[in-house]
Amino acid sequence: MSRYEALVERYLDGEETPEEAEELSRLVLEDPARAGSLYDAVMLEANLHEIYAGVAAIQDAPRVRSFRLTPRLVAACTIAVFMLAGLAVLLVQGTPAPARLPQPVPAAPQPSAPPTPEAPVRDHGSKREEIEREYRKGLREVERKRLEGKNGESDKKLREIEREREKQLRELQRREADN
Amino acid sequence: MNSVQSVRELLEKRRLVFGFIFALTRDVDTAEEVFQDVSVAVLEESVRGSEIDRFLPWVLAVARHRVADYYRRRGRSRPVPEELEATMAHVFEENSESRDQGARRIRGLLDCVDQLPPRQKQILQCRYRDRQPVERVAAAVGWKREAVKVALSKIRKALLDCLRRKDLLEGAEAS
Repeated sequence: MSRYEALVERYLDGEETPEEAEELSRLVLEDPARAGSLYDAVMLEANLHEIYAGVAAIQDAPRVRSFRLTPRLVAACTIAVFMLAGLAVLLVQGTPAPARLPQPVPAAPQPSAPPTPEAPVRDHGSKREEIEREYRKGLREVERKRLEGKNGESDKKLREIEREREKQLRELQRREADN
Repeated sequence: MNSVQSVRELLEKRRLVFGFIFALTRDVDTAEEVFQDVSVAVLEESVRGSEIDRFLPWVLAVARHRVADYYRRRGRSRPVPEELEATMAHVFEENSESRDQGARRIRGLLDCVDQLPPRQKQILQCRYRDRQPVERVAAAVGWKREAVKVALSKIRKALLDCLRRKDLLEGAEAS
């Protein structure tokens, strides 16, 4: 490997010293062929990131997982069946029924009070729908970016909208708990 | 250049501008973030109706400023010295490829990656798909860090040779 190639490798790995950066810069300016090869080397890195971002987007997309019957799964299912059978036998043979406890007399029904103006009933259902609507809108944008080949941007947007949705749902749950 | 033209130019040069930002950051997540800033800057300028004579040098200069802003905001110094940044701008101006050429190169690269041995593909997946540093790649494949670095270097060379055979490179092999 020549000195120039070694410098390019160090540069691509982000490990060059300021002196090496200066040397690389000088070598590139000296020879137009080196400028071309440096361009190719950098674009190779960027292109590899681009194609693998596309692969990641496809592989990470929600999909139905294939179901494989492994020996461990068979063993687990067998144990579960025996346990259920044992439980059924116990129930059929029966344990003595507990003595009936006197039931409390139910209280007379009270007319439901109208909601007070201080505590208005909040429409959490429609808020939830709104959150989901926004999320779906975001998903459409993610899909559009993906179709345009902006895989990096679409991944970033997806993470963003998922975070936002989770945040808003948490907030909604907190409000529901408060009410 | 009107607003539609500058947006069209940005779309045309998307890969190249991203590649340039990547060259100044060597970090794909940072490059993606800065590329978004640059896209917004292009749109703002086009809305303002600014006259841009030569789009490529202009957008590369915008990218350099946005990279500098990115690191300044985080209180960090730029990873690539200014002199090498300027050289990179020169390299990218001289070797710009069209959108079609870029797309052809991507297709060719997919084909070249497909021809690699399984172990090399695994290393590429760890490094580029999972965006892992060399240390983590080494742990994943059970090799030493230096061995992974050598392997990555060989993979890059093999891919460049493959692209060269397909006549999909801008420059000749240099030493």
